Amino acid sequence: MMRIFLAGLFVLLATSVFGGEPYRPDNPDAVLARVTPASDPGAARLSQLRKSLDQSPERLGLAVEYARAAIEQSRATADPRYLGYAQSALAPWWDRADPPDPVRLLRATIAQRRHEFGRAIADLDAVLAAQPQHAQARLTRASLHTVQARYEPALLDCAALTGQVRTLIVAACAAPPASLSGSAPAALNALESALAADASVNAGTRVWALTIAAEIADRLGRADLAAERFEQAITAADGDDPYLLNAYADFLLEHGEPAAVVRLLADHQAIDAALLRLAMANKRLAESGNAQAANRFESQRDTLAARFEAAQRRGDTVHRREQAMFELYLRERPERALWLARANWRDQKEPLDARILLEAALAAKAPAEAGPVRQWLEAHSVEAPRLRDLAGQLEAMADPA
Amino acid sequence: MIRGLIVTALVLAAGAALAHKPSDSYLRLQVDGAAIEGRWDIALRDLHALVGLDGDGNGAITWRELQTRRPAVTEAAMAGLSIRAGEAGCGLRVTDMAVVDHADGTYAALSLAGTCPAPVRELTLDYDFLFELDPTHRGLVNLTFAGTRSAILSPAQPRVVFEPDNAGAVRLFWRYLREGAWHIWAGIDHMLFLVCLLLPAMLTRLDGVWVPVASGRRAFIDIFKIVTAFTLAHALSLTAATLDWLRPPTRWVEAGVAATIVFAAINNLRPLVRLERLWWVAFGFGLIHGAGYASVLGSLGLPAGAMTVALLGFNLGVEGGQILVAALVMPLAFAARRQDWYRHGIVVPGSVIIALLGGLWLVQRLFNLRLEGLW
Repeated sequence: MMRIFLAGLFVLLATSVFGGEPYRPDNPDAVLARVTPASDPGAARLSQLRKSLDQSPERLGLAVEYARAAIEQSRATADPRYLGYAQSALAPWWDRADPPDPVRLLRATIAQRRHEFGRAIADLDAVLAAQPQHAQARLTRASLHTVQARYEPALLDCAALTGQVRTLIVAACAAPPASLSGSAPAALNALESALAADASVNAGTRVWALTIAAEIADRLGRADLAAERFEQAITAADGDDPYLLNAYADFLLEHGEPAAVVRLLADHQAIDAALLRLAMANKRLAESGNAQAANRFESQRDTLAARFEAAQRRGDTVHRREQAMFELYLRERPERALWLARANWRDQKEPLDARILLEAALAAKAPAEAGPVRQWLEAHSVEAPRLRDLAGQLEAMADPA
Repeated sequence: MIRGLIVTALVLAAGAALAHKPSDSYLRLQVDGAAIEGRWDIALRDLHALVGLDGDGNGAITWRELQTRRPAVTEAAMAGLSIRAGEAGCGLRVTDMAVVDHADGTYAALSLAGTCPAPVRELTLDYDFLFELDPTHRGLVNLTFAGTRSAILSPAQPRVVFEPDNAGAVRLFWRYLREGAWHIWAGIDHMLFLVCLLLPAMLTRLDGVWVPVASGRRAFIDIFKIVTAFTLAHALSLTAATLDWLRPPTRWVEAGVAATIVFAAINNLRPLVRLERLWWVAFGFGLIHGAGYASVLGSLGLPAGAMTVALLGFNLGVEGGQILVAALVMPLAFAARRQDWYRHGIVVPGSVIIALLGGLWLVQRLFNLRLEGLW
């Protein structure tokens, strides 16, 4: 199976074309690309800082400020180029074994976004060894531990935040790891009361907390509550939040509302993860007889294929989660999906990653391959009826008697 | 309040995969005699970040705006790319500009042409485009030059040298064979490990002291077993890592290699494993060293269509290099096995020095320290 996959991959790599045919637009005012307008406050600030930085590249304060703004821009746009810009600003300190703590923190954040989790943790450990009260480092480390299924250290980090940051942040920090280690209802309740008690928090934190609440509620089968929280988050978000959009789209797909996904994501096709969900929604619509959706699905699927291929050319492995979903749900090639889902599970262990691996193993009729997820479900007493149902189907497949 | 906002931004990022591919440019070149032709596709987003394309600042880059900035685009591109044939430059220039759609957006397509002073036999490409602004940018090169080759250029590897690929697989095989064999000599840590394993090969332990082996044949069989186990293991892990079945973190692999050196050296001074069982250890250590070779192989750039040939060549090359080391060390050791100075003047102090050096590497690699002048 692996051989076939690899052989396919190499053929793909060897034969891939370098883009299509060049052309000259007939209309000189044809729009070729969209960039952030000069009036956008984030972009304006970034270019201002860059100018100052070019004058004095060794000024730590300036470099840190620029890097932080660039990282924020990369989150808002989901464009990793900004992470490269942030790295370039930190260049004088980037390769140092012992850079100043602000650089360490940003380096950890960039590493985390690139799925270099080990590097990120090492830098955060160092920051926290020097400054145990560093709230931002604690929060980031907690989320890293959670992504990699180390729930106890994550909870310890969140607990250490008590009294240092507002209660809502502590609750939102602790809710994901607590909800994945056998205390999901309690974690959700705590987060819900913190949300109700804290009306004055800024929009960003509120959206973050609402999204977490919605995800936990949905995992526990409380779809109505989840829908309400997602709607609130969408309303509260000023500007787009790629993470929220994707999470909400997954929820809508799960609950049979592909048309809503199309409305939600139609303007976000530049983002691979959003395009993936859009294509999934269009595929569903096409299956129920919508011819327009069928056309959209095919063109979106081909665009995604080309994008994954382009990412592979440069040696990227950051997109395995999305690629596994693509192979499983859009291409219906379960063997490839399974290989990718397993590789992805070595990196990150969030409920969505678990679900992809379980469903890929089911589709590929290879129940043993999902063993790591079943262990995860048992070891942490994960409360997730839908995941447990999938695991049960796999068990039945492995042992029909 | 402000702090809360930053905190949120950083945390939310945790689970969210980056939803775009980072920046790449696609450079396609054909060499025909002394003439070079090609096309270089650069994302408009990248050119915008570098020279500014959005003249009116409205967030939409038009064909008119791009054409207005053509001189700046050309200048930036030519500053970032140089091609030489041997020592002589090939005077590359941009002859035309159009646009082309890639999966992740529209790119400027620059037509390139150049003429080298003489027919090209070896092509050197230096790439330094956008790296200063975005160190994660990559230049993906595809070259047709009596065969097709590709390379990925990065700040760590901004140069690639292409030789004509006339004899196809055979030539490729030789090239990787050479690289493999050379690596044994260039990678001093792998070499020291081997020397360390072989140093006391002609001695055996009797009541805790070294004595010369009675039979050379017996010693050669032991060595043969050790070297074979080591080779098989590193071939396994090298292949697995190259094909991306395994992705061990470089830092731990490098530290692991250093640890094996320390172990082998200490084993010479105070045996931890009996000689007859040493091949087991050699097998385990071979797995670690193989993962170490993989990073070297990766940096050479593997030809997509001829992975098997390249892997085989590299593996055999490494093995050949090792056999050569063994062939040099063994006869000397055999000849000197009865001499006191061999035991006390070479095996013991040699192992002590290697253990210290290995220990230093271990600390350095484990804690990411840089000790200038010590590799």
